[in-house]
Amino acid sequence: MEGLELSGFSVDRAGFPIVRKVDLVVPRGQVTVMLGPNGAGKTTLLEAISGLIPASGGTAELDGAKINRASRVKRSRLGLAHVEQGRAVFGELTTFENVLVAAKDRDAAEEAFSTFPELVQRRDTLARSLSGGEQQMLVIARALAMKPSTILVDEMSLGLAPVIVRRLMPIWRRLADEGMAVLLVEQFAALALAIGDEAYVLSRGEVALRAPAKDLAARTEDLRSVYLHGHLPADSPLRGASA
Amino acid sequence: MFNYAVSGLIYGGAYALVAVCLVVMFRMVRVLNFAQTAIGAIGAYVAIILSEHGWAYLPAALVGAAAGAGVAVICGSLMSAWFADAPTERRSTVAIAIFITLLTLGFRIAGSTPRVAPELFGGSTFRIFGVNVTWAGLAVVLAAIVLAFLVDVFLRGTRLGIRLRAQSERPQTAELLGVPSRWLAVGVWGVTGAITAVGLLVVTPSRGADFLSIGLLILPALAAASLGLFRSTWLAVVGGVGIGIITGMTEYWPEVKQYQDIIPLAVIVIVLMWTQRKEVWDAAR
Repeated sequence: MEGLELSGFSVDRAGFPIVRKVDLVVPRGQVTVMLGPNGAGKTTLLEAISGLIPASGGTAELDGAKINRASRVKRSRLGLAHVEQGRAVFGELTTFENVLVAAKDRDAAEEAFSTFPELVQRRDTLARSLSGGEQQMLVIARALAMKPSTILVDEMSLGLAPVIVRRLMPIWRRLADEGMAVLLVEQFAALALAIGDEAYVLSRGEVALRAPAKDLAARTEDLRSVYLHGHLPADSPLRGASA
Repeated sequence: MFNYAVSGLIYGGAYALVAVCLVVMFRMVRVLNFAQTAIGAIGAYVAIILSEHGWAYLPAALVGAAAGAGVAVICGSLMSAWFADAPTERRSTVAIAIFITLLTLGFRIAGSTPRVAPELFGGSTFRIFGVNVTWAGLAVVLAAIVLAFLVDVFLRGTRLGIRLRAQSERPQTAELLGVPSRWLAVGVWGVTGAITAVGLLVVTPSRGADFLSIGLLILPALAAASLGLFRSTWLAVVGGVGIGIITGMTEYWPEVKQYQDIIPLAVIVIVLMWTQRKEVWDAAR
């Protein structure tokens, strides 16, 4: 399969199981949304996919190649990009230098700016001096400079003004339409579901629900039930689609 | 007295060279490398032993530099394998352990008897304004200045330098972007190990060539690097040359000379007091 596929994927932290036997498919050309309450294991899952922490079980495949034992660098070279939570810019580098770190050459770096014209006039500014929204744009531009085939986006909206979130969210739809596989972990459920194709809800480290994003967007009460109780109400029509 | 001050140039140049390496290690590899001179001392000692066996200065120095690089690469590989994601404080503590280990090993193997070290340019001198200056002293000061310049240009003007700066700030994020942080860090260990070995080889004939005294040159080098708070290569050069000149001047007064070993400590205390002068007690604690 082209894109990312997890089978029985588990992750432990300090000996405690945080993510348990997750099956997940993130095909190219689609935005796959992952929702879930705080502490559900979403960030842990992304960190294990990109190799920041080891997985304790199961398999992860990227475009058909197993990546469980691959280094972080190898995974990135295979086409995996990870937009970390918390706007992880290199503060002592300028905007352009930040992008250049990830790009193959200067041309690729310049190209990455085309998605964010706002950054062009800030290209020689130290990244730590940028606003929160600009820093998030920079982190995304930097990931795009790698020309990835699959991108993991962790809580992009955290700490950003809603107007900035609305500015950034459609970018994932466009990138998916251009053929990229996007796994979007997000707190702004309504905005994420509006651009998503498939949605997963993670609860206590397990996939509690899998459904088409538009179906889930139409049933916010069911989503709330999964967040609070870890399962759908007995009368939910989504039960048939659930994992 | 001016003659004495100038005689300190050779020390100063070597301190500056090692201090620049310490700054590079701190900025690029996130470690206050207390083991820098112990690593360099092994390289310098290899060169000294080769020269005792009749090798010419240049090939002996090159092999010594390679030996310094090799030991540094081993240390860097261990650090990258086991402490890649550790904070600077923990990595620096590991460097102290490496320093003690190498110093002990070197002392056990080489003993405490000073060796006859070869002199760069045969110890020849030239006179300027009536003062004798060794060619070696001038060369090592110039080498420190050139190194500081090259480090600045490399880090700001090349893609590899920018990637090194990135991995020093956020190694994990850099790896996620395809930067081979661990290999780059090991490379920095190797290059600074080679440079330190050559710097120590040049200063050894003037300082006495026993392993322990070469290894303990970390103290003036740390003091020099602290002048720029381990961030500025240029202030490290100024600090190194300054400490060397002051050390040379103490030779003029026999009653002061016996205290010359406390000069680095005094510099460190003054730098710390100056940089912490605006701290309030609770914050500084």
